Amino acid sequence: MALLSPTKPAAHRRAVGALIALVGLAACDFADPGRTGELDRGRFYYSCENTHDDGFCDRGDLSREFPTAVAVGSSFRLDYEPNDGTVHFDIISGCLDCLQRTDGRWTMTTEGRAPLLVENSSGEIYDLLHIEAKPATDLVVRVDDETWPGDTLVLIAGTLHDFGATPEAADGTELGGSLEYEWTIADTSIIEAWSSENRNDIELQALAAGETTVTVRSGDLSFEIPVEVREAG
Amino acid sequence: MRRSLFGMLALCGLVSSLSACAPRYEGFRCEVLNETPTQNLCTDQRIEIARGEAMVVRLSPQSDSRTEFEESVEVELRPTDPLLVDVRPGLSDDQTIIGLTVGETTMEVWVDGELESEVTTRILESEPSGPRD
Repeated sequence: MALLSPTKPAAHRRAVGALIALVGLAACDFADPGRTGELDRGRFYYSCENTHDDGFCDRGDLSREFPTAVAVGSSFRLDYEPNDGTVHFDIISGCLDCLQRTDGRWTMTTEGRAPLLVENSSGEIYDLLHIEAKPATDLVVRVDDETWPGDTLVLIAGTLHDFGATPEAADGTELGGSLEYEWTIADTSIIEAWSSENRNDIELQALAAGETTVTVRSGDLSFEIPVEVREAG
Repeated sequence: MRRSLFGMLALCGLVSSLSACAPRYEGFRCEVLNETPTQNLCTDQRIEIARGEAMVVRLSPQSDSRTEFEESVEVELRPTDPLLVDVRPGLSDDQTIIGLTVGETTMEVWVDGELESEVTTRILESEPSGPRD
């Protein structure tokens, strides 16, 4: 059992959070979300299909980094910036059976690798990048940006907390790609959701003393967090 | 009579010396331009690539005569089974070989528009990567 700290009243915490977000945006404190093409003629950029369903995009459409792998069946977006800005190009799949694009949304339907090919207007391959898909075998839950090990979470009544879930492969790789999520709270008189329950991150408020569970589901995967709420003081 | 015999001998000598000087295809040199996730192989005898991976290659014809091929001579690979392997053209006569399905096949080697040989091509199962450090 662990007590989550610090605990601040909801309004105060919201104001501090907004200030931190503004400072963070001003400082542009993002890792480079691009990856250089294998022929070194430009850079590929990963962005999220849905900012609330992809753990790699918790601050907007652009990812904090280019994922090592994406979850099988998840969707994402890609862009390419050639070193020579005059080149007209299209990103095409090198594996029509396993990597598909619909309306700019990419999906890898099977486990394994596939080449993303940059084709110029003459139909020549200009650059390329391999992308890998792995099946999601586990959900990792973060509470206030800390990975939660799964024991009982202790919250103080009146405080707000950020919960997030990210899919992981069997080898521990954090997977990119937008998946569907659903959060449920066993007893909503003890904990209440402050944001939509159908996204990978959610804001929960501890309301009153008691014990309950918070569960997140994505496909066949689920993660249950036992929660004990205590009165302040 | 003697002059015409001499002329014929000279012509034969010229033709044979010209054919001896012309480049004769004996294989190709393969330079791989990208680092594929799984180790690949590209020689004029055997090409190996993993399924789901693409290898960008630059092929140069090799001659078994004293005369080398001109730089403009193209070596082109053509898959005999396009379900197993695909080849796409690239810049500067580069070619992108893509492993589609695990198996073994051949690719035809065309040099300046003529079929010269075939190269055995194996498409292997790819190895999954580990998590990034």
